[in-house]
Amino acid sequence: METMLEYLTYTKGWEYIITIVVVFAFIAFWELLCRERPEARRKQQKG
Amino acid sequence: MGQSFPDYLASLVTPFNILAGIVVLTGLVLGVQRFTMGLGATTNLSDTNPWGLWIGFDVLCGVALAAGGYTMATAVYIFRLKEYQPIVRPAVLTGFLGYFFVVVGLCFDLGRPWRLPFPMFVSMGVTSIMFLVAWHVALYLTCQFVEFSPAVFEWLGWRRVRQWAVRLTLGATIFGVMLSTLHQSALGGLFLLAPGKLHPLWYSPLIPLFFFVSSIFAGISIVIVESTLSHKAFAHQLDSDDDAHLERLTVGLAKAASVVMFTYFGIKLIGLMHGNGWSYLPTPLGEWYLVEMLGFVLLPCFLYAHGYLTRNVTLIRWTAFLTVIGVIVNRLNVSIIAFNWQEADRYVPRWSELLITLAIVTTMILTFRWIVNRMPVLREDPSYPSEF
Repeated sequence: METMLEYLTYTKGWEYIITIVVVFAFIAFWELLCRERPEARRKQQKG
Repeated sequence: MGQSFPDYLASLVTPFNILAGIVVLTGLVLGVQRFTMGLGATTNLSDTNPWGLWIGFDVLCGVALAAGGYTMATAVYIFRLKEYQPIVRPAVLTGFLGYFFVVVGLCFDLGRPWRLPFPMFVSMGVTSIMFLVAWHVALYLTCQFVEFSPAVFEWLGWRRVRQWAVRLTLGATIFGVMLSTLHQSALGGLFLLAPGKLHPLWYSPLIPLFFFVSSIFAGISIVIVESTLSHKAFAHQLDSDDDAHLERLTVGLAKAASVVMFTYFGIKLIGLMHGNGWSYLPTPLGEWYLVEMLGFVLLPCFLYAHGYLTRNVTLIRWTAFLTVIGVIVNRLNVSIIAFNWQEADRYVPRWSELLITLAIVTTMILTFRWIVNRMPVLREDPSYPSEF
């Protein structure tokens, strides 16, 4: 990276990519958490 | 509490009380030394390192860990998650005491406590973050007292005053959330003034956001820790059903904490890329940064999620302890370990600083116990209607 333009293109580019990955990862994580697990629910009701 | 005075005094002689008494007395002696002989006699602070343990731990960690009050009050009074009501009062009490002892710790650092109102009324620096923090802490302490005051008035038997206090609770909570959002982030904002002093892995223009988001899961985790410990210590005040109910609430809190921690990890990653800090990772401080991010953020995030999915309350409680340690590590990293990282003269706290901090924490625990033993905090007073 020799110039300011190259530096900004590099950091901003990666920043946008990471942002999109984080958003999709968050959706997947949320889906995982919201999935009902009947055996876990039974365990809690028992406890 | 139905005992004669000599019996009451005899019941106070326990190993914990003796140890706590020694710590508090030592802290008092050192406190006198600090206020009469100055910072030089009791601390390792210098012109290069003017902020030490009392700011890093007592103020930054104290405020973050006192966030349980606003997170739980928001959940119950604003989002109407009524099932969490039994843990609101202990959470608000912990928050109130946390902030109160933050001010005590701050007095040790600043000295001349009678001049505390000066930055707020006399010499107002309206462009300073410290001006905002001073006002916010004062106002938020008042809000938290209003939120907790129904318990005080129930204890005193002031029925009519208690009714008014309950009516004020929602307003105090909304005002308190606004204040918390601002001053939790403002404490991070303090470090925006020192981009050259804070290590690039911890410095980011997003640091106010980091402080605010981390305060949410710090608050949730401290509520889990506090409820776990107080349900053991004050078991005699609770019914057998309370434990099962607390376990259900703990599982719900774990889900909330894991979601917030995942978000925090994501924005920290974006902050890392924003500052292009990758090149610092293969250095000793970079490795320490990875320990903080992977060991104290990502690991507890997944442990919370696993605990929630398998309804493993024991795992959730241990994870809460790990998270609280992680938040302390983060605040100490920002304020001490990664601060002035290029200076040859590094700050290491003196034993007297550690002892005064320990005395402050011990006094807070003793105050919490004194209040819970007298006021309806963990139990409900059946002669008063529910706040809902």
